[in-house]
Amino acid sequence: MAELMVGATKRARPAGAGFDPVFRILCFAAATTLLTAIAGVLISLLIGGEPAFAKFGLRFFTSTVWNPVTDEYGGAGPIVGTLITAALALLLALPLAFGVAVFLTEFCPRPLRRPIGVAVELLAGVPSIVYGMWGLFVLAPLFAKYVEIPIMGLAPPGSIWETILSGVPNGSGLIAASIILAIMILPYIAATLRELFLTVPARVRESAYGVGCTSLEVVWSVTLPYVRKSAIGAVMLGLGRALGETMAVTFVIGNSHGFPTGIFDSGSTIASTIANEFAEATSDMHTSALLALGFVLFLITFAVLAMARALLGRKDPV
Amino acid sequence: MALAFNRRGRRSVANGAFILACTLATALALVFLVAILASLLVNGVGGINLDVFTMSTPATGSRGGLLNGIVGSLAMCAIAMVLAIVIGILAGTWLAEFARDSTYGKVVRFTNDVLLSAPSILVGLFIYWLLVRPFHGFSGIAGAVALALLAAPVVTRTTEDVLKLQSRQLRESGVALGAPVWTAIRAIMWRAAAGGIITGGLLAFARISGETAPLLFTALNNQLFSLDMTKPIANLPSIIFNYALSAYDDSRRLAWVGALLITIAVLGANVIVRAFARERKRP
Amino acid sequence: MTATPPAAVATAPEPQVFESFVEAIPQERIKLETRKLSFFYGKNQALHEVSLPFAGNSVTALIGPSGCGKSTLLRAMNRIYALYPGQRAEGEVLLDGENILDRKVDLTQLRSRVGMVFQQPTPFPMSIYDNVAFGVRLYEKLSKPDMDARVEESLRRAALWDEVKDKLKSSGLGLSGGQQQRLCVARGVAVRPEVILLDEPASALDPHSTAKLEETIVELKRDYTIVIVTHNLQQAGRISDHAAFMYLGRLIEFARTDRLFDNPRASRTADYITGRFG
Repeated sequence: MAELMVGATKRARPAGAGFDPVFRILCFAAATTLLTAIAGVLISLLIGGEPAFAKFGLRFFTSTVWNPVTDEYGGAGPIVGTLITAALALLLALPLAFGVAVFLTEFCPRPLRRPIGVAVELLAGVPSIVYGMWGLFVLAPLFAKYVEIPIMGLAPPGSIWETILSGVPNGSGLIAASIILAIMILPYIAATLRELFLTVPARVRESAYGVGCTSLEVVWSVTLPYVRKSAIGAVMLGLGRALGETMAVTFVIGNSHGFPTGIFDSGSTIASTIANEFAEATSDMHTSALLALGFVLFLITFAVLAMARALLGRKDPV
Repeated sequence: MALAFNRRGRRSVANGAFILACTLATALALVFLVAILASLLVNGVGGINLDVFTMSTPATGSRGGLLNGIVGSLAMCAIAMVLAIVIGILAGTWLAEFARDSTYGKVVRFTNDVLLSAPSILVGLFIYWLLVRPFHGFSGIAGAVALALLAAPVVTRTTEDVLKLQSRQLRESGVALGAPVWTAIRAIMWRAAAGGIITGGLLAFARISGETAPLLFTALNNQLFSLDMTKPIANLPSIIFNYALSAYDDSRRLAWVGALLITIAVLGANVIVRAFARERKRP
Repeated sequence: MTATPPAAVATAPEPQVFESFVEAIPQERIKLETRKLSFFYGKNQALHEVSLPFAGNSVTALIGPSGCGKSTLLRAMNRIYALYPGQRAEGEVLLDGENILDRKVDLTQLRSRVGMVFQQPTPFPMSIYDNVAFGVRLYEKLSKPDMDARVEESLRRAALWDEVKDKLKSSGLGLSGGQQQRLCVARGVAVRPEVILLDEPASALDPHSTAKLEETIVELKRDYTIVIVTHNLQQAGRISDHAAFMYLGRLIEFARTDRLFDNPRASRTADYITGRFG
C-alpha cells in the first residue's frame, strides 16, 4: 500500500493537463463555426428574401421586369444571365483547360514543367477585380472592334440573324462576360485536371504506350477513363466558381436587367446585380428582392459544388 | 498493307494535331497571363509616385493617393487573417485529430469544402445581415469578418491535410511520454505541420487580399483616412471598383495603380508559397 | 487518422479451445500484471482474458503471429488506446498493485511512469536536446546544468551520446533511422519511467542498428521493467528473460525464455517457434 502511494504521488500532473477538455471544445467550436457560417448564409438569405418571394411568388422567377421605381422585381433576367454566362464560360474554358493539363502532364519538356505550372497557378491567383478591369479596358474594345462589329455586319438585314446578333457593339455584354469568366476558371480546371492526371499510375500509361498507342489514344482511352468521375467533379467545381463570380462579370456584362435577346446583348447575373445595387437599394422590397436572388444563387452553386465534391473528393489543389 | 499504312498515317496525323492543340491551349493561357500583367504594368507603373503612399483618395480633380485604401485593406486583412488562422487551425485540428471519420466530422469537412469555393458575395450578404443591419452601419469589422469567413476554410483544409500526413505514431509518442493531448498537439503536431500551415495562411491571404464583392456592403468605402474599425473604412478593392468606372482619367489611373498593388501582393504571396513548397520537399 | 484494429484479430472462429500454460513468478518480483484483460476495438474483441505477470528489472518478450494481440496488449498497459473512442479494455492491469484501468487514474501521470517506444522512429521536429528534454520539462523544473546532465545521462543510456554530443542543437530528424530510434529510447528514459514498452522497435532498422538497440535494451533492464513486442524470435531469444506466446488474442504460454524455446509445453508454441506456422 505504501508503495502504491509512492507511485501515485511521485509526480505532479503536468502543466496544462486540465486544459485538454477545454482545448477539445475550442477545436470543436471552431469546426462548428464553419458549419454555422454556411447555415447562416442560407438562413439570412432565406429570411431576407422571404418578403420578395411572398409578394411575387413564381413571377419572381419568370418575370423580366426589374424596376426599383415601381418596386416590381422579377429575377428571370439575372438568373438566366447567370446560367448562360457560366455555361458559355465552361464551354470555352473546358477544352483549353484540358489542353493545358494534358500538355503539362504529357508533352511539356521537363525543365519547363514547373515554370509553366506555376504560371497557370498564378493566372488562377489574379484577383477577380483585376480580371474585371482588364476585361473592361483591354478586352472589350478589342472584342468590339474585331469580333462584334464584323459579325454583326454579316447578318442580312431583316433576317433572324439580325435579332440574334443584335446589341450595342461596345464590347460589353454576355459574351464578353463569358470570355472573362472562361479565362478565370481555365487555370482552376487545368490545375485540378493536372492533379488528377498525375494520379494515373505510370505503369498504366506506360503499358498503353508499350502496345503502340499514340499520346492521343493514351489520354483518350486510358488517362481520361481512369479519372473520369473526378474529372467531371473538377469541371463542376469550375462551373461553381463561374456561377458565383462577381467582380469580373460586373465590369463587362453591361448590367441591364432585361431578358437577353441576342448573344451580344448586355445583361446581368445575380452576382453582378447584387454588387451593383445592394448598397444603394432604394426600398426594403428592393433589398429583399436582391437577397432573394442571392438565395437562388446559393441554391444553384451549392447544388453544383456539392455534386462536384461528391465526385471529386479532395483531389483539387487548394 | 496500304490500308495498314493509311491507318497508321491517320493516327499519327490525329496525334500530331492533338499535341499541337494542347500546346496552343497552353500558349493561349500564358498569353492571357502575360497580357493581364502587361496591361497592369503599362497602366499602373506610370501612376506610382510618392503621393500614392502618402495621400488619401482625392476629391475629383485634385492630388491624391491610395493611402487610406492601402491602410484600410491591410487593417482588415490583418484582423481577418488573425481570425481565420485561429479558427482554421483549431477546426483543422479538430477534423484531423478528434473528429476523424465521425459523421459530424464528415459534415463539417464537406461544408468546409463547399465554403472553399462558395460565392464570396453571398458571404458578404450574410455578414451584412449579421453585423451591418443590426448595428445600423457599415464597418471595418464587418468587412474583416466577411474576409475571415473566406480565408478560414483555406486554413482549415490545409491544416487538416498536413496534420493527417503526420504518422499516427508521432502523435502517440508525445502522449506516451505523459504529455497532455493538447501539449502534444501544440508542441509536436503543429510544429511538425508548421510549413503546411504557413502555406495555408499565405494562400488564404492571397485569396482575400483581392476580394472585392464581400466588402461592397460590409466595409463599404471611405474617402478619408480612418482606422476606426467600427465605421466604414476605405479599401483598395472598393476604390478600384469605384474609380475604374469613373469618367476621370486621374481616377482611372489610381484604379490601375491599386490593381497593380493588389496583384503584386497576391502573386507575391503565391510565389512565396511555391518557393516554400519547393523548399519543404527538399529534405 | 483512423485507428484500425490489427488485421484479422477477432475474425477467427470463436469456439476453439485453448490451453494456456503460465509459469508462476514470485509475487514480490512482479512489477506489472494483467488479470483477465480483454480488449475491444469497437465490437471486435482483440484480447481474451489475458492474465500475465511481468517481472521487475527484466525483459519480457511478447511473441506470436501478426494479429495475435501482442501490440494490443502493449497498448493497454499505458492506455494509449484511450486516444481513440471505441477502444476499451476490461479486466485489470496492475502496476505496483494499482489497477491502472481505473477511471480515476490520471493518464498523463500513468504514461510518465510507463514509457513507450514505437515501431517507426518518431523524433519530434526539434533539436536532439529538446527531444530528450521534452518529457522532462512536462514534469520537472530543472536548472540548465541539471537538465544538461539529465540529457547527457539519457543519451548515454541509449548509447547515443558519443554520436550526437557535438550536435545536440541540430534537428533530431537529421539522424539515421537507428540513431532516431535510440533517440526515442533516450527520450523515454529521460522521464525516468518505471516501465518501458517497446513495440517492435527494431523492425524498421538494419542489422547493425538492431544490434546496438538490443545492447541498449539489455543495459536498461538494470533500472527498468521492459516489455518488448517482437516478431523476431532470435531477438526475443537474445534479449528477453521471459517470453509470452500469444495466438488469436489469447495467451498460450508464458515461461522463462530459455524454457519456452527449448521445451514448450503447448503444441501451438512448439509449432510457432519451430516455424511450422506464423
